[in-house]
Amino acid sequence: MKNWIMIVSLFLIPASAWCQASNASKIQAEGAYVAAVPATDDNTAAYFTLKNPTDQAISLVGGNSSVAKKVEIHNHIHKDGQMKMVHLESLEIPAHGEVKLAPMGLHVMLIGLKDSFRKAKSVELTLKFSDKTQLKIKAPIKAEE
Amino acid sequence: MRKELKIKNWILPLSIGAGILFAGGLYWFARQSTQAPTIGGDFTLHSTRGPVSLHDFKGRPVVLYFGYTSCPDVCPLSMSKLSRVVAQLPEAVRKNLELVFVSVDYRKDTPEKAQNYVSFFFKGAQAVGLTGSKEEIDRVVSLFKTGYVIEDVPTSALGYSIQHPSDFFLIDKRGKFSALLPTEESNEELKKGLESIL
Repeated sequence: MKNWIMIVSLFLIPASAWCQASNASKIQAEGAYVAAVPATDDNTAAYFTLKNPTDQAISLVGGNSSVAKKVEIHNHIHKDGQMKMVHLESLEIPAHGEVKLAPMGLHVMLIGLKDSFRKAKSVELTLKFSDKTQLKIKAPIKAEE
Repeated sequence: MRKELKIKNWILPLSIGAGILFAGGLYWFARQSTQAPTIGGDFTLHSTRGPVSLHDFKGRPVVLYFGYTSCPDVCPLSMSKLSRVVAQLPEAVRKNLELVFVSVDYRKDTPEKAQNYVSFFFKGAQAVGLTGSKEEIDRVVSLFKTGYVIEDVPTSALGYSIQHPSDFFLIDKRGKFSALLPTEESNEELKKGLESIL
């Protein structure tokens, strides 16, 4: 019996490692940071540039982080001297192209910040893409420039 | 004959006078109709230390901003940018400048939340957070010929969003509106704008 368990385990361990590897996105994130906000603020924004080196367009469809209840993709529209926030279901990164998420425009919102955010110096963020892959990034928390 | 002459003598100056008055009236009317509506005026809203009016800051330049504390991106960035520019000003000037943050989120923000918000961004500068009832905020927004819209966003966990002005309103030492300064301006342009009211 013990031998069987060992044999099955030997097959399972590489299989799980393979699953993790296949789930890793080819999308690259550069220059990531999260905006520092007052302690009374429940939300903040993360910014980075997403690069797609593949031949297929891939969309960012969401994400999660242990420091926030929800992670969403947002944009800001500037029109007639007014700023308006728009919630996006997805954000396409063209094949061999890039999309910059930057202040006053596209950004990833961390909504419902938890206590762990207040003490943190950086945030771990998992980004989810339309091809079912994920990208884990670590973004420092810093004051916006 | 003499009487007729007397009347004739009056006709010319009278006509000239009437002409001047008519032209003046036309000029005044044209000016009134082409002049932009007056922006600004005194108002009173609520702070952590009680009611605060714009005239309380007379003798000091004011930077006025309309936003809300749950604002996800634009307000923190605008406050952060402004605080960096203000920090570059000489100390004496910086201490004379008043930064007024008006939260238009009358449903969720309180004077305490508004004050905590500005205090986070402005250290070593006079900054006050204000808010009020819908009617009070609507009056201030209307005085400054701007607007805001609270929209429900059911698809987002935020639940709502507020469309609000993207400019700083500069007010001179006399309490008069001086200029609009777009928040997306470079730090150098923001500094120049601030210097224009110092």
